[in-house]
Amino acid sequence: MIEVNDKKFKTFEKTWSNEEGIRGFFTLVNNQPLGKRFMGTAMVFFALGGILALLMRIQLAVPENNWLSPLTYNQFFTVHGSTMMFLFAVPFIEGLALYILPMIIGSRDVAFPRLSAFSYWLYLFGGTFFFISFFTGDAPDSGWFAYTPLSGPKYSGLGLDFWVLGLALVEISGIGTGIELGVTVLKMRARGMSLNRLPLFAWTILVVSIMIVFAFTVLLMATTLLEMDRMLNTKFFNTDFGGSSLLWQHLFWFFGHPEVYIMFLPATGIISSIVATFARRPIKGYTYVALAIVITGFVSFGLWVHHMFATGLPELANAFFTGASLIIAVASGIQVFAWIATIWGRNPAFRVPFLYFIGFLVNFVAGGVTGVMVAVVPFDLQVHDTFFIVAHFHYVLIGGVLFPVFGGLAYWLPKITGKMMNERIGKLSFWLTFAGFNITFFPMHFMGFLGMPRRIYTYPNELGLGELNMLSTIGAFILGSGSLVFFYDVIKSLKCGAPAGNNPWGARSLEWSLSSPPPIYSFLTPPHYQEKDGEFDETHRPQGIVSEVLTAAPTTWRATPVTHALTAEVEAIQWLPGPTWLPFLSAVVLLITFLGMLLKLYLLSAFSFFIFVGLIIQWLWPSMSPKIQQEALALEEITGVTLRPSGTKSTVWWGMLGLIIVLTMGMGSLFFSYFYLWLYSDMWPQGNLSVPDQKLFLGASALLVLSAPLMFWIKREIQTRKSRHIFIAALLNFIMVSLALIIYTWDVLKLPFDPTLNAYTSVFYSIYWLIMGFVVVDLGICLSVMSRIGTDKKIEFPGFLLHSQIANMFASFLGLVAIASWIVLYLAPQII
Amino acid sequence: MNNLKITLIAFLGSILWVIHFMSIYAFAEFGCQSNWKWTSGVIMGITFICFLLGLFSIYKSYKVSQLISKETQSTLYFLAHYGIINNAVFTFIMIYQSVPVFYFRGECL
Repeated sequence: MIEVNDKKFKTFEKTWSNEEGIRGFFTLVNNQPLGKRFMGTAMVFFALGGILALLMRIQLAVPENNWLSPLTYNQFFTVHGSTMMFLFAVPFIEGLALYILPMIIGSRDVAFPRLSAFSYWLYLFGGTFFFISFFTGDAPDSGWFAYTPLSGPKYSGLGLDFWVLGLALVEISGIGTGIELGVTVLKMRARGMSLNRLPLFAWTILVVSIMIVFAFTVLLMATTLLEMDRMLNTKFFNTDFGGSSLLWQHLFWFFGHPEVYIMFLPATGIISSIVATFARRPIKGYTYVALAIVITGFVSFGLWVHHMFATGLPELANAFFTGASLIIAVASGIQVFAWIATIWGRNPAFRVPFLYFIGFLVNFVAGGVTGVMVAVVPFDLQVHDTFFIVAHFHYVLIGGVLFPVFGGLAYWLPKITGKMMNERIGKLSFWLTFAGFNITFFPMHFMGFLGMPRRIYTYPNELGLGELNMLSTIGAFILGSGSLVFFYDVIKSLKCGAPAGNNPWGARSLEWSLSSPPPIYSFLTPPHYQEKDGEFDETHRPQGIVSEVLTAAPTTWRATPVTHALTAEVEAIQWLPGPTWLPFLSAVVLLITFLGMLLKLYLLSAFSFFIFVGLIIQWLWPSMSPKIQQEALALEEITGVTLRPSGTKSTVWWGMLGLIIVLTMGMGSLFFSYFYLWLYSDMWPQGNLSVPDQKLFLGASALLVLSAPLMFWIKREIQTRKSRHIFIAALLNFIMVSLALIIYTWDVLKLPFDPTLNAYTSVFYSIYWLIMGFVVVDLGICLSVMSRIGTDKKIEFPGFLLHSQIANMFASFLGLVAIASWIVLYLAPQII
Repeated sequence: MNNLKITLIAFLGSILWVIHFMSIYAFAEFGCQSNWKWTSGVIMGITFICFLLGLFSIYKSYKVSQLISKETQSTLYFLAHYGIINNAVFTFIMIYQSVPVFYFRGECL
């Protein structure tokens, strides 16, 4: 054990602690309190969504009931679905991962603590914004999928604007947390925790974080287009003007189906943790389970059309999606068999978390089997929009997500709070939940077969489904009471639970080596992960110079080691930010921007957006004080490990990669929309228009393409420490990008049509606006590189090379986007 | 052989699947809508090429796995072996998913 003197320990602890009082509430950035906030807020939304579900069940308890009006029923199922999908399941899992993941992988915090805080505030504001729609008297009523034209300007009011804009904030929050968690798994693992030793929960979070980045961006783009249709009168989804309702469905479900696996995969990670602990051995077939997780992540993006089998797409295309839908069941099955093999012959203790695993297994397999059934087109056409589908997806989502979430809470809550939950109350809660769930949803399979339609507020007596519906309603209340008992148990354990000790379950993973509750910095000494019999060897003590030097250190700033993405060898020591107002303020200002748009106060919106940009610049501006820089240099000398990582050693590089994927998916969604609209148009461009003159676009794009090699040259000069002419080169680069922006702006102002004319002009302008937005970001990056060169002529300290690498990455990306946009907008219509 | 190369080879099958799936979907949706008579033929051709590339990816990851020592390079060894299974699975998925094209034989319906 490395000795730490008391004074050093106290200073170290103070550095990691939050500020006191109300100030501390808004400025904290540590993963643990933020994880708890995410989970707590998600549970509040879960309760609200659950209440709506019970109200709907009361309405459906008897036939021809008029207790709720059709409109209110539509609003309830819309808000219920949206709440459970967007405001409960994903944020809760993100919160759990935010809290527990750094401990599982041996890090003191996540990769970008301020981004976690920013994501939390956006989630809270977005969720609240979304629920405000209830008080406008015009709650959204077009389903959680918001199909157009029901969600278009003609058939829905202000409530849907609240829904869309609230959702946009939640999506940005989700993307932020996704990048955060992905980079954390890749770069913040303990030394020795190589990819082949990565705990399965961390595998699932890694895969899901990548999925979030791909899927959520498409939804963000789709909701942006929908809001543009509603506010700016564009025509993406307006069929009278060449738009397409099916385009919305394609974009929505490209997100919507992976979303199911974004919720389900971490749930399997939770289950793997529980099963390994209670079976007292590692999960069987580790490699195959890891493989199944990756396959599920990939193939989940090839299923979206199975939500659209009834829309009249070509049968040949449908058949490919049937294939993918069947294959993904095999991937899920691999995990199920691995869990069964793990518990086989082990006589596991039937404690509450393990009971939830059993509940999960039974219900999820049932949901999976009906999933295979609805993957087959002829069957799907028969049961489409019936209660059979309601039963299927609740078996998958409650069975496959809620049971593991409750199991995971029962499993990790003793670590989080230091108190045990009551076993008897826990078991009561489990049996109520299990029985209530099956009583509610199992009869729905039969109701669906017998013709009970979903999304309809009542049903005729002659259908003969009164008894089954009454049974479902009774089951729903039993299910609700199970959740209530669970929450009661949580609160009771907080007040008078028995002390948990460090490892109440006898688990063998890294987080259980910490005290319960863990200290805010998690690890006083950065751990060195060693395994014995395929599990964490708790007897192994940390060793190596980095662990030694970083024990209760640094004392005046926060830091944690960064390791290689594959081998987990220490590559650098990462400076981490302390308490700051920036995430909260940025989120508030972004909220005002959205509010301004909603209330059509565009000046307020523009003003607050400029403040937002200012805050982001301050956020990104290097904030290591000269004193810390000196300390960092000294630490570098002792450890021989850099504190100024660049390239793939830096978490920022990976964060930038994540951002570029987000932007690529955003632009990709628009390109898809462009070709999809074209495919179903009689002529292209629509409305007898001709493709605009391309000279200016080509000129501006050429400048962007040329900017990429120039930025590469600047980066190389900095890399080789040749400071000659780089300021002039950076200035030239800045001028080129500025000129490109001016030319684009000039061109867009003199386009011979406006964006509201038809779907072609809408998508044309959108691609144009997006590329201009990218150029503005590039301009900011160029400006910052230039100012860094100007103020730090010796090119010495920190992140200077990294700065130019980031700029180079973005410039290359922008060059490619410029070429691709030219091909799509100008070349393709001429050659096809 | 560097880490990046081994990682890419391990995920080659997955990347191929993405390309294959996007291509056959695009050809099915766009080809059928435009009544293009070569739709099925092109899909079969793409599948055949991807199948060959998939076989190559299995072979390549097998060769890589032979070059790595389990004792001294355990992570890379894991990755190489992972690659063999991953590439084999995705090669199978590509074939499995494309089977319907033989049933439709030029018809889009």
